[in-house]
Amino acid sequence: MQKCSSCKHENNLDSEECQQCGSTLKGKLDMRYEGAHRRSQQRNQTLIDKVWRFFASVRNGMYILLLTVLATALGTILPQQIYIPIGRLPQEFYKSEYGVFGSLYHNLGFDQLYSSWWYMTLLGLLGASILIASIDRFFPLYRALKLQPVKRKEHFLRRQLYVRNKEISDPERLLSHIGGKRYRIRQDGDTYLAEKNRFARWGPYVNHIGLLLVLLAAFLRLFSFFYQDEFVWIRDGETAVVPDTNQSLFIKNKQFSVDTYDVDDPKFEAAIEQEGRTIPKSFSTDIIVYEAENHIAGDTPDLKVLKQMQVSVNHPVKAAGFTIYQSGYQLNEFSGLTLRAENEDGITADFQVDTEDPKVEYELANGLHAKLVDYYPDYQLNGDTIITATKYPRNPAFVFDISEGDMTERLFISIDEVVSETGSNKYNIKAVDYDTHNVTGLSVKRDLTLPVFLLGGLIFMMGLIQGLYWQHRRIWLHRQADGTYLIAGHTNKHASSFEREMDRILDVYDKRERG
Amino acid sequence: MEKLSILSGHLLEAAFITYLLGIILFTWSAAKQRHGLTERIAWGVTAAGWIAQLGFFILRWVYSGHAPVSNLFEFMTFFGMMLILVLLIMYRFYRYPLLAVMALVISILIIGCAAMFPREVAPLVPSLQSHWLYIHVTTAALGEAVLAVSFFAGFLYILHETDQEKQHKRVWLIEAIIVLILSVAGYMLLAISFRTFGYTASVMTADASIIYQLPPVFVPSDMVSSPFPFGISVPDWMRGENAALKLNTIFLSLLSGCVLYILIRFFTRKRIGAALQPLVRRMPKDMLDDIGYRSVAVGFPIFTLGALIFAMIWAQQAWDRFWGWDPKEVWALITWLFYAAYLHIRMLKGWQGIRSAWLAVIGFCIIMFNLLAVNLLIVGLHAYA
Repeated sequence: MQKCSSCKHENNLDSEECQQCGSTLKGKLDMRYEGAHRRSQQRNQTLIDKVWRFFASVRNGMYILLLTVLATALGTILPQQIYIPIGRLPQEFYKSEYGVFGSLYHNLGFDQLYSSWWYMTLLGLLGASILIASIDRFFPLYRALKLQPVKRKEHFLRRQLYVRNKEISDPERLLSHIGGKRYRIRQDGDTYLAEKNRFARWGPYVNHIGLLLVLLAAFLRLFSFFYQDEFVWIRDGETAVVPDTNQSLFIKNKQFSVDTYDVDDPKFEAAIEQEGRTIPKSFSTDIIVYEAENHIAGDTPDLKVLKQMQVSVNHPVKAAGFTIYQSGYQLNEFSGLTLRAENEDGITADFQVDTEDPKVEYELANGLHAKLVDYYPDYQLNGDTIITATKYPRNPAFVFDISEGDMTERLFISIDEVVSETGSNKYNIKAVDYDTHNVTGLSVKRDLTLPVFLLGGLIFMMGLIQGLYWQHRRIWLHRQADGTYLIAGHTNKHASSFEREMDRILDVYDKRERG
Repeated sequence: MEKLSILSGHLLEAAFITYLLGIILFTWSAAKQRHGLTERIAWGVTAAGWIAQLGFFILRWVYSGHAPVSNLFEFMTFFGMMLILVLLIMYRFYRYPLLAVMALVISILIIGCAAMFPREVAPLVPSLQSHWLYIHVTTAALGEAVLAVSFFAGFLYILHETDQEKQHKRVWLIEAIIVLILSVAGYMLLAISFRTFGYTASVMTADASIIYQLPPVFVPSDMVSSPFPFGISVPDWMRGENAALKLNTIFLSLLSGCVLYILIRFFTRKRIGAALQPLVRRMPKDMLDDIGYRSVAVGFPIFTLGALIFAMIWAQQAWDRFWGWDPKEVWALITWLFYAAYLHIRMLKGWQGIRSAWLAVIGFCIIMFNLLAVNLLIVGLHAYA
């Protein structure tokens, strides 16, 4: 289609005069999509047509894309919620770190921007635009190129990008030069059409299919059938069940190990000193994966060894349809604390508290009675309140009621401090000893969408290369009434290198002519 | 082995000096009307510099035992090296000395900045121990280097097309870009001179002491004492990590950029854009527009492969998720989306030429933002590189 400059009527590419007002159509032809009629350009005005027209427009697609760019950038101004320090409350974190702006950022939901409904909507709109704009263009373009005639009107040829009038005594020889540049040549009477790399025109549609596959894969992730993401913390020597596997998959941590770089290595000495601490060399866990057999709820299951292996960072392992990644660790977590309580007479007695599963009541040898009121496995002060950052015993603290007869005192006990909450200071209690263990953090994932993502990525790359590394070029050779030839050329991109190629072909022809 | 490390350092210095020489030769060649011997010598000298830098790269690899692309110093020098490689190849097709000057200037500024970051050979933490480290980083850097060519061509196009007498807004934007580029040079000069004299200033705050490598003009709001008499407290809301230190560096860089700008104007006696225009005017503008588009067309797939696809495959292996909204990842995505937009917008009527050129300038700003600002201003998993 070409628009008439005086009355705006849409005419065919081949027309010389406007079919509405009769004025002559001039200027270089806009050859995009071969001037094919697209659905979005028809004048039907039902609601569906309007929606179709909206999404088929590249301009509108670009508005959506640029909006997405801005939104994406907005999410990096402050750290996203997933990256704030563990145990900090978002409300409090953003306010205390970034002031009023931080509060606003948090309250507007920008700290979880990438999972917000409106960001998802933007991505959905982008997908709709990619899909509809592609369908709207591909089929008409495909038909137009497939059915293109060799013979075109002179008027059409004269308005191409590259136009020359030339006396050609030996068109066969010129054609063989053109053929030497990998053009395929068709003939119709006195007119020739040389064409190459038409497949480059399909590149954009191929890469859009790849993109849509990627978006589809992202959508599939919402279903647990395709995507399951579990995480287990396992102490050295212990076995844990992987959650949500119907109690069928168990992993034992035989041994977690950390290796660090040698501080005296002359090669890395300077860098380690700059860092100010040792630099880890590897994190790995020796694991055994078990499958539960004959499992009846409530019973201890019979475990069958599936695999024994080592998992380390960058070297995930596969077992029972899951991939297991080394993705966390905790050194020296507390397994148990020994507390020493002193009664009014100064007689002490020790008792053990298990940090994993503490007992509630303790009868002590010196006649005291301890009752566990509250337990914070990983305690932190958050303003004036005590919270637990995680459920893992990394910094355990307890609230005990210590009593003898009807005297009761409430005490807060952590590793390094004791506070009497009742203020009576009758009994003394403190931590005197502890046991520790190492914990490995394994991420256990089943992700059936990965192949779809990968396939989408591959198709996208193929389409990109197809569309961007080749250009669709055409040369028309038309014998005019006076016997000279009209040479017209078109390329879908990189005009200057096409002109260079054309000039070179004609130069070579001329040189032979003279020589 | 120690010797290898020292030799490799010297090779980088040699490359740096050779590139400077390359700038002079290419500029001279651009000033002369005809292409010829100077141009060929300039190309040869630049190529020699590149070989020296390749030597630096290989020796450092041998010495450290891993591809030297694992921290900011190593990545930025590598990016500079890729810029020169792209220039050398591109020059076989498009023989425009000014494009070469642009590429060389940007490249040595990047390599110069790289030298301001810690240069020690550091061991790789577990997540970095993968072949994907160099597959991902090298491809991404190459892609960014090819994309950068569109900025060189775009900037020249803008210089070419701007009417220095009438288009005031554009004229000042050009001068602003020049000041920005000069600020990077200014920062380099400042940092090198203060480092040579061993200057450090330690500013005490309520709970820490911060070491400044440059005079502490901007100090934290809770400062207790400073060796520099005129400290300006940064506002209370700037609480990011080392906010005052970063603001201080940015301020002094811009200040030195302005000083350099004024010095240059003192010699040219007119706006720098106006002084450069006669050189640029000889270049065919349609060709510049074509080069700009072509470099995006070539660079975009390489960037996609290196900065997104390879990155995602590695992230899946090392961090158990291929995408985690880490700031560096996000800005790679923004870069990608932006250039995708560039490729589409160019198809719209009226968006070739000057508008495309401006888009190319913005695109390069995004790449630079991701290279430097994300590491310096936003903390993320890529904090090391």
